[in-house]
Amino acid sequence: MEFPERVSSKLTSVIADHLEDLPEQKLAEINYGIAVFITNSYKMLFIFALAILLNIFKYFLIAFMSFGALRTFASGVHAKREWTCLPASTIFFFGIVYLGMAASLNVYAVSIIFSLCFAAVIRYAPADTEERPIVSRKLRRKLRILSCTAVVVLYTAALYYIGTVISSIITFSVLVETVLILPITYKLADSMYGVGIKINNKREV
Amino acid sequence: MKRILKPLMVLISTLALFIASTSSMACFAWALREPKMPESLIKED
Repeated sequence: MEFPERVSSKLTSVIADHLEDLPEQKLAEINYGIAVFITNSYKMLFIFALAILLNIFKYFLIAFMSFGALRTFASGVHAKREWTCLPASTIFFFGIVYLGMAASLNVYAVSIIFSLCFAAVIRYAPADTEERPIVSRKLRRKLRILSCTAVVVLYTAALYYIGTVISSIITFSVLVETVLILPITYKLADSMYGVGIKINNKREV
Repeated sequence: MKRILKPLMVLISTLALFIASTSSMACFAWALREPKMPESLIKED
């Protein structure tokens, strides 16, 4: 069991002792909510602190918000182990920032990257995982529409700031997140793409 | 101590349930790892 799950199960036992009338199902959901919070929060604290120390907090925040805006709906591959997640998250976020600061993209480059990302998002989003399968067709359709909307909004923002570091960071954030939803990335990360669709197809047979 | 602990546990449980239900509809985990979601949270048509 990984560190966030260990802490969350201990905390859930304390909650179960104090709130005795909670059913098993609710306790499992509470356990999951706490684990999600811990998994994200301590890594984010570390990455935020590092961004402040490196004096790139403003650019980091733009990368974080752009990446997160698309990832919320499009999802994508996740690390299997806790110890690989923090270095991977750090490399991705700071890679985006430094790449954005180093490479200035013109309107054509931004448009080509966003067109490719939009096509990939229409085809592959939402990309779920074995840990969190998206089974409902309605929810998949809704998340796909929201993912496309996020790409369009971010493209508008990138065009608004064209010729600046902000525009490059937004573009690279969308590019990195799009790469994370591709089936080839799932294969490389030894994860299964489209778990929700497979579960749904099995139930319909 | 008990008087504080029970409301605190209620608060933590409510927040955890909110995060869990939000996470079942959208990817809450922006970091690159996510814990296994319980089956009761998997949305079906």
